[in-house]
Amino acid sequence: MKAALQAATLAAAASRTAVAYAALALLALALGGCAVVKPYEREKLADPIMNPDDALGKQSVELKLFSTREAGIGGGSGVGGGCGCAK
Amino acid sequence: MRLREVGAAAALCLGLAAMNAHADQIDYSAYPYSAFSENRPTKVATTAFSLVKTLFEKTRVMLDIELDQTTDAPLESDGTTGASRPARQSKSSFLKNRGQIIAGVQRDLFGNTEVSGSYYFSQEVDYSSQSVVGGLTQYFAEKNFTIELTGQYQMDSVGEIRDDGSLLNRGKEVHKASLRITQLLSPVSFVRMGVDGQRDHGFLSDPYRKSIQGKDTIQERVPSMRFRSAGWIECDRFLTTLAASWSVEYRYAFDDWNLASHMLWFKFNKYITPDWILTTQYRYYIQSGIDFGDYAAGNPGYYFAPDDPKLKDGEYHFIGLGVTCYLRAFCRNHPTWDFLRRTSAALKYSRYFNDAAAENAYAGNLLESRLSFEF
Amino acid sequence: MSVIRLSTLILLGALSAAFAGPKPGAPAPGFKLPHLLDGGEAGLKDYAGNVVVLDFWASWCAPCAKTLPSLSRMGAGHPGLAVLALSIDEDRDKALDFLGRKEKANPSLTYLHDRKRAVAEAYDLGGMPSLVIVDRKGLVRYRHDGYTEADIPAIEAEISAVMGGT
Repeated sequence: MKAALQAATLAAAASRTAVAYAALALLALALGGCAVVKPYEREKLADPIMNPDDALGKQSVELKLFSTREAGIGGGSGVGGGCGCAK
Repeated sequence: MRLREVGAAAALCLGLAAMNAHADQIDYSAYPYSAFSENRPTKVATTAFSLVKTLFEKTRVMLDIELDQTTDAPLESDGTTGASRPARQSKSSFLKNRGQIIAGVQRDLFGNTEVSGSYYFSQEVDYSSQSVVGGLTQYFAEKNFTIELTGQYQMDSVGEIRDDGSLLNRGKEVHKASLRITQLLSPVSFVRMGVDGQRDHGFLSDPYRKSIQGKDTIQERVPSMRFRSAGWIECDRFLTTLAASWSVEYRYAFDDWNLASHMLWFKFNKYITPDWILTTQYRYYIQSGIDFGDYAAGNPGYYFAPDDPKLKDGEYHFIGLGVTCYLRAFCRNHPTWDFLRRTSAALKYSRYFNDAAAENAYAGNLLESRLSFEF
Repeated sequence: MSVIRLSTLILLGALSAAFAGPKPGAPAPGFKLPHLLDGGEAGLKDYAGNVVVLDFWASWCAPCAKTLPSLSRMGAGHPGLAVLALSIDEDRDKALDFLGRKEKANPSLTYLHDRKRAVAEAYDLGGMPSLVIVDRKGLVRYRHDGYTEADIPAIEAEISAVMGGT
């Protein structure tokens, strides 16, 4: 019983570590330099192809469709990453 | 896609719509139209109008109006589940309309803080939904780091048109809170992550969803409480040499009905010319079926919901392909049309389908079009 | 490196943003840039002895759509004032498409193209759009990083003060 519990704890710890490394790997993929991005450097971040649907709220029809067949909640988009305009 | 589910789902997407009216973004009016059909006779057509306008320099207002129309085959071809079929006519085709309006306001306070509020209302013959959403956004380090908090309260009236034509209404409430953070990683990439929590309370069943078991017709019956949570992370990057971008989002959701789901959404967009954008996306979703667990322990055999696809094991794929065109090149060569230089038109086709045996197979086609005028 | 350590580093990197541009009273960094609308170049030295307003804008900057027309009126309202509107767009066509016919035809504005954002970096802009008022001695007198239409009356008053020699 004790051995089974130890094995389960190790497995849980290993899976948590795996998730942490996966998150780091994702960050590393997107990482172009861990620097402060100045307001005048945000042309690419404000470009319409960086999530064009979100820029003008176009994604809502698709999210409604998913909600009729799926139970998972939420929609992943928000503000930030934009043009840095007006301070 | 059932209208009453669309209405409720639209309310829960309100947080997204409210947050999109952001002070950094442009003022615009937009005219979307979408047409949806399934591998059943159901069809849904949606037409809408959106307006976002800055008033008094630091205040933005948003108005969104949407009209849906659902058509379906006569009742006799859909006699097994009877979902979302308020009318009891058996010979004529099914037709149902829904109207929706969202009004919101967003205000910039102190330069690095924004507050927002929205009101949502949706109405159809046997379902109405109202929501209020409040949001707070705080920027740090010249908007390199952003924290957003939103809270939403939703109140639905779940109606049932009975055989004698009378309408029986039951209530449902949803409380939702979300936390999102955004971190710029470089001039071409950022990461977002967040958590959502939601409490559903009240009449959570579909009053029309019945299952024929032998000689008996059994009504769907689910617990009157549900706690739901989700965590997600998204990374976006602009590819300068390709004039393209990719985006990846992963989301994990679970609830106290023991349903868990994973979602992975990949998008790739590319400039074909400086004025034409190609958009592509693939989304994968998998969920486990429910187990009412502690709710059922006290009431063995009481809860029953065999025919709700949202509560079953499921695996879904979503593939989309679209184009967006900006009219600036045309206006450059035709100065008379200069006032349209910030106008765009978009067209997108998507297919949504599951991996299931023939009797449970699902497939839907979604065609979206959108005309936007920025000013 | 642990996830917590890396996350802290990223956060600290994000929160630290030291200002490196000219503050009021400091000499305005010089530059020479190509004209956006037609050929040729212009620089700050060409306007020595004049009061100069530098406005930094871009086609991807939503508030710029409202501040540029105000800039046009500013130039017309102060004879002798030099108004230089510097676009920091990488793509010249996008900058041109952003301007309306009225803005392009306005003779009181000089549009320049800071394609490599070298001037933006020299002034270390803290927001978009940004505006810097340079006096006749070439010193920065006022700067507005990330201004909106609501700030225009105050900017007009500052221009009048600088032009009046105060």
